[in-house]
Order: sequence, then C-alpha cells, then structure tokens
Amino acid sequence: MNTMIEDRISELPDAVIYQIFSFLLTIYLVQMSLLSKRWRWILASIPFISWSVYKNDFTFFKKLKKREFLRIVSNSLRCRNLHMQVPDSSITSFMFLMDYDLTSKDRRRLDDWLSFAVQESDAKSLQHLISGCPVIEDLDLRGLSTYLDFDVSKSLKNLTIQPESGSASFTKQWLESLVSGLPLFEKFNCSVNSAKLHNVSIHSNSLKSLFIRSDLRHPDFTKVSIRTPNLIRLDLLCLLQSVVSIEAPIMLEAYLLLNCYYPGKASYDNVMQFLSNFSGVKKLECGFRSPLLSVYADMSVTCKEYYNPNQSMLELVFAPAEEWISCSDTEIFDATMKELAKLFPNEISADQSKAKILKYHVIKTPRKALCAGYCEALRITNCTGAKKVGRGSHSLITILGSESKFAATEKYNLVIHLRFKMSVFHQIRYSCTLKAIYVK
Amino acid sequence: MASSTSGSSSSSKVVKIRSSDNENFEVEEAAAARSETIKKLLEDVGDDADVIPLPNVDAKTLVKVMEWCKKHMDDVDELNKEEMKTWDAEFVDMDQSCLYNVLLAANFLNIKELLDQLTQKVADMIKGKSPEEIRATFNIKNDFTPEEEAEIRKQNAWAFE
Repeated sequence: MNTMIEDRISELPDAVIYQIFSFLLTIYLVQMSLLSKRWRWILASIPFISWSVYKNDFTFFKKLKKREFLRIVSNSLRCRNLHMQVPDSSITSFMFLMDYDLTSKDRRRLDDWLSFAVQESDAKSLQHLISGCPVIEDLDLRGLSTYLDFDVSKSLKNLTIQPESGSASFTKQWLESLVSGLPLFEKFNCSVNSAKLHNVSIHSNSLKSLFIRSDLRHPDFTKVSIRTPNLIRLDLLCLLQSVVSIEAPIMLEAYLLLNCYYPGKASYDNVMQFLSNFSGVKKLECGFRSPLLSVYADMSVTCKEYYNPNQSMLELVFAPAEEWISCSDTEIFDATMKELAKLFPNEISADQSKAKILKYHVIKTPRKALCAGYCEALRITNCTGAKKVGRGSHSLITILGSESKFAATEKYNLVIHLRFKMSVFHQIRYSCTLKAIYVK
Repeated sequence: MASSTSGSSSSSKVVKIRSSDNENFEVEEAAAARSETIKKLLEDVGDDADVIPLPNVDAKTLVKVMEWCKKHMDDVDELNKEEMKTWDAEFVDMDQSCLYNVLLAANFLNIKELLDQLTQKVADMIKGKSPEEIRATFNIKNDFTPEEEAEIRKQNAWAFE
C-alpha cells in the first residue's frame, strides 16, 4: 500500500515544482490544486501556462466539452491573475492549443487571455519573452509602437512586422542581422516606414517568400538589396524610382505595386531598369500608382469574362476622385490618356497614334453607396460587366484591398474602363520574359 | 571502465567532498565539476581545498549523484547516445523517497541536466492520472476544511468523474 510513502513532493522548493510542471499541461496542476492548499498556491504562481486539447498525454480529459474547457482555463487564469501583484511573478511561457470551433465571443475571450499573458509586458519584457522562447516558428508582430530589438530562436520560419504607422520601430542593422541569422527562415512580411528600410540589405539563403511594403508617400525608400538564392515569391510595394537589386535566380512569382508619385523622378528608363530585375520570373503582376490613377489593371487578363488575347481592357481608379467627379467623361478620358502616355510612352500616346481606344466608360458612384471602400467598389464594378468575377481578378482586388485605407479619405469612386485595340498590357501581366514587353 | 581510460590526464585529479553525515568521498574533479556549485567552490578556494563540505546531502544520496556525474563526465559521442539514454532511464527509476533526495541534491548542487531528468521523471509520474490517483501516488494530505472540500468538489465535478 501507498500509506508508507511520505508526502515529499509537496515539500519540494517552488522552483523545482515549477520545473516539473514545465513538462506538463496546466490541467494536471489544476487537478492537483484540488488536493491541498500547497498546490493551490503553486497553481496561482506557476510561470508556465500550457493548455491543449491536442496533446497525446491529454487522454484523461479527452471528453471535456468546449464550454467546460474554456471555463476551466478562465478560472485558472483568474486565479493566476490575483498573483500578478507579487514581484517577479510574471508569466514566462504561455501556450494554448485547441481545435474547437470558436464563436466570436470565444475569440474575444481568447484575446483577453493573450493580453493577460503579456499584460505586464512593456517593450522590454515582450522582447525578453520573444528572446527567451526556445522555439518560435511563427512570429506576428502587428500594431506595435515599441522599439524592436530582440533575438529570436533559430527555428523561426515566418515573421511579420507591421508597426503602427509612423512609430519608431527598429534599426536597419538589427533587421539585417536578424534576417541573415535565421537558418530556417521562409517567409518574411515586412511593412514599415520606408525611412527604416532605406538602403537595407536582405540576405537569406533560406527565404522563400518576401513581402515588403514601404510607406507609399515616403520618398526616402530608394535603395534595397535583396540576395535570396531560394526566393520563390516576391511582393513589393515601393516607389517606381527605387533602386532595387535582386539576386533570386529561382524566383517564380513577383507581384509589384509601384508608385509613380513624385513625378519628374520616374522615367521610362527607371521602369525598364526596375523590371529588368524580374526577367526570369514566370508570373509577374505589376500595378502602378500615379498621382492621378491609383491603380490600373488589365481586365482582359484578370477577369475571365473580359478575356481577349488581342485587346486590353483597362480598369483605372482615380485616386483624387473628388476633384474629378464633377468633370465630364471626356475630360476624365483625356486626363487618363495623358497620364497613361506619361507612364508608358512606348505603348500609349495621348493622341492615340499608338494603342487605339475602342471604347471607354466612366463609372461614378458616391462612396456612401459602397461603404466598404475601394475593395468593394471594385468587386461591384467587376460584377456589372461580368456575372462571375474571374479567378484572376483576385490579385487585383488584393492589391486594391491593401490600398483601401489610403483611399478611405475619398468621397467618391471614380472608375474608368478603357478598351484598347492592341493588347499592350497583356505582356506586363503575363509575359515570361520582360525583354519581350517593350519590343515592338 | 571505458570512461576513465578515455578521459584526459586532467581527469585523474581528485577532489574530496564530505556528506552531511560526515562521510568523505574522493571524486575525480571532472566528475565533481558537473555540479556548478562544486565547480564554483573549487574555483574560489583553488588548490588549497582540503575537503568540500556538502551539508545538505547525505552519503547515500551523494553516492547516487556522483554515480551520475561519473557517467556524464565526458562528452557523449553519437554512438553512445542511445546507450546513455538507457542508462539514464534506469538511473532515474528509483523509489520515491530516494528520488526526492537526489532531486533536492541536484537542485542544491546545481546540476542542470540531472535536474531536468529527475523533474521529467516526476512529471511522467503525474501524467495521465486522475486527482485521486495523484493523491494516492504522492500521498498528498487533504488540508481543506470539509466545507472547502465540498465547494471544490462542486466546482470541479469534471475532475472527479
């Protein structure tokens, strides 16, 4: 019989007990907290919190219903919360895994738990938390306004950095050494104030997908060097005049959104030089933004119903719609052509001596009617001409979607459709080699 | 033993340690230095060290701990890793009272790897058990009042099913 065994486990020092439970799911500690006061104390002070309904060793509680499970977690965290006032009692590890279907109420609860776990975390302790984590594969830092300077485990695969706009975020040196120091790094999504990225070098042998979004209205982001021998996909949002050097021999897809703001700096040569980086790419999507036309895309490519190998069907969205909404369709058309001629002097001229316009159509809608913004506006526009939105149009919507915040100040949607006789824009969105594009 | 012949000449240096029940032991320095506590003491006193007293560890426990330290004295190569794993598994398989003594000693002597192995062992003893089974295994005394206990049982019916 077990009656001969002394209760020695309860007498172990707190630190040793914490270490024992660092190997166990917190549910075991919750169970033990029902046995004596000593274990209630341990539950209230444990720095390692780990909940899961996946893990194999969870057999005993397999039958817990979602509501019960969430309630138990809630209770134990409430208990833990009382302990937060004690100095040096912060939570150093927090894990939560489950596969229940969650309602929005459940999600809010989960959000509360997470913010509880990092509640005492100022910039320093958050970075400490990240640095102290032995294995992180995904790290998603959005809406941060703190200064970033942390080490992260070598196991990191995916990283997202999206600081609050305008907030100081990190040094270029830190970013460069972080990226080059991760042997398993695969996906990097970086959206930052361009001043922080000026002259940045991104070197990684393992990186497969890179997304860089620089501040649109910032003229400083002019130089970036990307050396990524295994890169497959690049998403780049930057100024047209940026000097980008890319070494990515096996890159297959590139999605570019180039800003033609600050006129006078950009030129045809700039475009050529920029696009020459992508000569080996199998799939290239390229959008441009000018001071007048915020986005344009070729719907004969992006929308199945408009598909025509011999024609281009451009859809353009006016960015400063308010200034133009009262103008006549002809005025809008003329302004569009002038702007296009500036952007593509080889393919388009304002007098239509190059690509010939077959048809055009201007759509004006008050923004009120389309409350969700640009993204919605475009979907609706697509649907007026086509019952089904073609699969390819998603790429366009995605680009616009990311712009919706920028366009939210506009009161109107002003969309112009142009149908060209020549298929001038096919190549830009389709072609395998860019050299072919500009050859007449 | 294979481990002592493969050791370098410095491993032949011996230190003396004394248990709480005043038994003296002679241990190879490389083995004793697995303990951060002893290592630091040795650095502090240098070669003048006569006997290092360990007032928190009794002789029986110290023999056990030093057995582990000798085994883990040298770096293990890939070939011996499996063998070492088996040895470690057998080593931690001891009766509870002995287990806690070695655990406390490893904590006091600051031998991280041993502490990891032992705390993992205790964790494994808890894993998969119901509250009542845990109470029986570790003989944890109920110090709640009958009212408190009734309340706890009511609140946590799921755990006692």
